[in-house]
Amino acid sequence: MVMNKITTANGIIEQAKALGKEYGLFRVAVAAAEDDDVLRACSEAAKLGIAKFTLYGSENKLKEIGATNGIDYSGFTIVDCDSAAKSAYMAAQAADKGEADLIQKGFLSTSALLKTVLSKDFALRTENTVSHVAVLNFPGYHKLLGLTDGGMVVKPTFEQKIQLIENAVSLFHTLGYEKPKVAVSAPIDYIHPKMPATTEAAQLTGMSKNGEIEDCEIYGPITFEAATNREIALKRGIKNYVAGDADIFLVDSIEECNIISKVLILFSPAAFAGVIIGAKVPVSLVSRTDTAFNKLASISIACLLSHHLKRVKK
Amino acid sequence: MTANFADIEKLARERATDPVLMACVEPHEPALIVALDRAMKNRLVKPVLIGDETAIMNAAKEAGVETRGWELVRSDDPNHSVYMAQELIHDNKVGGICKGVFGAQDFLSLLFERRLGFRVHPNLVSGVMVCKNDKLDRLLLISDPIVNPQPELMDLVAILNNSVALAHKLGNKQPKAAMLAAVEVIYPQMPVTIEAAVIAKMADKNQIKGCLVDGPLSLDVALSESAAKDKGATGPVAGFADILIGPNLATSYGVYRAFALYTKSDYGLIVVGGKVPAVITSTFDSDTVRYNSLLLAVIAAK
Repeated sequence: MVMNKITTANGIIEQAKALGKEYGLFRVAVAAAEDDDVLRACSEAAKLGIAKFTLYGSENKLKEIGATNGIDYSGFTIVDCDSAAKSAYMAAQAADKGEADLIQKGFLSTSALLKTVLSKDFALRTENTVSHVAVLNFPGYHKLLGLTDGGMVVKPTFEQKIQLIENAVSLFHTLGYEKPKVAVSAPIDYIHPKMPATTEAAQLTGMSKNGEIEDCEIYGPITFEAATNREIALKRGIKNYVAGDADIFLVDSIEECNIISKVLILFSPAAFAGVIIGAKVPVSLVSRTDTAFNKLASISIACLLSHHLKRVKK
Repeated sequence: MTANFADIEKLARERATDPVLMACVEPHEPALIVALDRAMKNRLVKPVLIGDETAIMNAAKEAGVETRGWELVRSDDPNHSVYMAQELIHDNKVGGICKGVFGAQDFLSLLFERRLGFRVHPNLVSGVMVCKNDKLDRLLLISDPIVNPQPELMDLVAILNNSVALAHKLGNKQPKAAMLAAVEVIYPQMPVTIEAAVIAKMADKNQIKGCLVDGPLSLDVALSESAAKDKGATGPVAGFADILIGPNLATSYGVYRAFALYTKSDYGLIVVGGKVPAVITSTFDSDTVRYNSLLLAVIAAK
């Protein structure tokens, strides 16, 4: 399939539908599926012809939730598990055996799920750090912006920043971007020795120039406004072509990334899709407070990534 | 209680029995001149322009503002302009300082040179963005987006206190403050959550007064009632925060820029905790944003 660049959140969902149609429905293992919010999102994705779901969880409880919330399980497979830990194990096992393309987090903590997924019982680990990317689509910016990491890595070291970039870049390859533009965040647009975020950003830029980090174009330190607004960047004398046209915004701490993303999601408001990258299969998670559309977009982007990891990258 | 910038303007007019003398450093930009003109016509501010006369005249001409009769101090060196403003502050001749065409960080560094006495020992100087977003029924104070890069615990307390003092001046007697983090619970692996919890506890023990504090809170839980409910966050602050304290400058700066650029918000930015309030705006800020910031400075000065 010839792939165009996806530039909207809706485009992510549409592409997942198209791939589901062409290659068969994505197979999603839902760990600790007893979560009405997650189940509604799964049911929506199933209806749209994106994916089919195997629910790991207490069958009784699932039936109860289904009845209360009017969720139709036709087309779903239910695997009865007596604990969240067991359900996580079985979902990971399904992914490990190649029976599931991705894992959807249900009613258990992200850390508990990842511990299981990355355990030595399975071959789902990779060398890379596991990180979270939130892909935002907000009014006023002409394309998608992937922010990382607002969900997993608390305070990335320099080495981890490289891996965070690699993870986000692989996601943008999935979205049809050949050489994503990565802006490395700082609160100022120049190097200040007392601000490590700025010196690290400069180092990453250098490594990109030297070809030590491939498949993307890195520039920093750069402020959020200059990374996303060409006019502001030019006014400040920043001519690098990442400025004002960033695809990926690499941020210095989980707080900075999480909180900026939430301003945009709540107040812009941004549509968004989030996914955990770095294991052999993507892990999708949605928050109770996400809109139905954003939940669907998150499941969709995880599907796209699984397609990329399995069919394209190999 | 003020709920938007129209209220703030009204309040500033009530407070400013005499216009606040404002030292304007390098005011070579039309948007600033327009804002000063408006503040002057409303008898809120009396500018003292410090900079290159030709550049100021050109900016005034471009702005279509008649600046005859405005006080002008000629200076052909930008750094010298800051020093002259400093002297006016030191000699109690002005009630506020306003940045024109000058890098914000360089401006602040010059302002902080101790011998010139902008800083008042032992007060911490911090920036506050005051924001009225059309989705919120109240003003939001966001701090510190501009001065302190990596505040330690007691710096954060001082940043909080500065914001609370400004909220009080804006008529909010008991503001609700959220110490922001990525999550709503305490995780030892996230030091930010521990600091936030300690500060919230300090407020419970009345070590921080004049406000209600909760933390750690994520941004959605701090501001959205429904998010607070969904995530089971209780207490008076969750969903109703008036003040957001970011764990570091990078975070607050990002929040400030995201609100400013990509939401429907009316806002202003000032620096408080010094001998006089300082107006710090960006080259791309509109005259409205600059006027809003002048209003905040007037209220902070009175």
